[in-house]
Formats: sequence, structure tokens, C-alpha cells
Amino acid sequence: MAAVAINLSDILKGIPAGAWVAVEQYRVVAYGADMQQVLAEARKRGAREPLILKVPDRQETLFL
Amino acid sequence: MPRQTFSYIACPLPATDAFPNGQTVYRPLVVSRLTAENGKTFLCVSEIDSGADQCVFPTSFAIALGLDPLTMKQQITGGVGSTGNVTHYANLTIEIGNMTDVNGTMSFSSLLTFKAYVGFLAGLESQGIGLLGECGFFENYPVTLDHKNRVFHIG
Repeated sequence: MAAVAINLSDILKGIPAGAWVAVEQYRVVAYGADMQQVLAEARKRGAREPLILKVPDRQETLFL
Repeated sequence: MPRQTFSYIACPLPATDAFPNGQTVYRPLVVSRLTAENGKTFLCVSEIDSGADQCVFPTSFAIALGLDPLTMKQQITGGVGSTGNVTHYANLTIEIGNMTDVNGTMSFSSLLTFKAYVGFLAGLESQGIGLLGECGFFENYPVTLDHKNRVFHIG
């Protein structure tokens, strides 16, 4: 069992800045502006335990 | 607990007036599984942050965990560039780990688990990640940040 280096920039390519994203099995299973809807949609599509993250908003570069 | 080693995550940032060529920052990010006392759970990204007094997460995470901010205990908190943040609290079990690949299937592999009384605040919605801070996390684990070699160690 090896740790996976997930290339998020590849997976998130084309997803709008600021969107919530559900990722499972190396692909985006749902995305949108509302985190609850994204999680619900991912589960509806059969995602068992999706990783929830957010595409950085281009207006906020550094997180201090 | 054996020492666990994680890699810093490279985060490319867009060009700005101050950095016209853009920049790449390296952050100590981990995959975390949050579990509420009601058993609801989900995976998110958290940053190891010794500058945070407590472990905190976006308010939307509380709702996803089936928690109701209107009934949770609260206090006002502040951070860099923000004050007067209404922060709601709940007990969580937090697992930190890696995404691993077993025969082509990607899944979360838990490496360490702790319980913490954590805060949820709207101010983290724009980042969409949690912060693992002093209370709950650093008070329980020695952490070594080896930015030069782009790794950090927990335990």
C-alpha cells in the first residue's frame, strides 16, 4: 500500500475558481458553489467517501 | 505512536503586482477524516498551523456533519485580518492520513487519531480547509516542520 501523490492541478483542471469539489478515485465526481449540494451530489453518484476541497479563489492568493 | 512523515504540498499562486511571475508556496497540508459524535463523517484537507490556538474548520463542515450551529456553544474569535468571528464548537474525532492506492483504488489511510473540541467559523469558507492548531493537535503531538526538505513529521 503506497501513499498516492495526487496531482490536484490535473484533477481540478477546468473547475471554476472558488468552487467546492468532491474527488474520488482520481476524478471529480461533483462540484459547485454550495458545499452541502456538492457532497450530496457526490454521494448520489455513488461516491462512498469523497475528499471535499475547494478550488482556490484567484483573488485570494496567500493564506495568512 | 510511530513518527509519521508527510510531504509539503506545492500550491502555485497567480501573478500579482508584488509577484509578477506568480509564486509557488509549500504548505503542510494533510487529508483529514472528521467524525462527529453522531457518527457522521467526511474527508477534507487541513493545514498544520501552530499559529491557530485551536482546531478550526469552515462552518459548512459542521452542517455536513449534521451539526446545527444554532444549538452549538459559541464564542467570538479573531485572526489575521479578521475580528469578531462567531465560532461554534463541537467535539470531533479527527484522523490524519494519506490517500493511498491499493490495486488501483484510491482510499484514505488513517495514520493517527485524536479527539478535539473544535471551532467552526464562516471566515474559513473561502479557503475551504481546516486548521489543526495548538489545542487538540499540537498539545498531543510533537511536530517537526522541515520546510527545507519539504517534509514534516508528526509524532
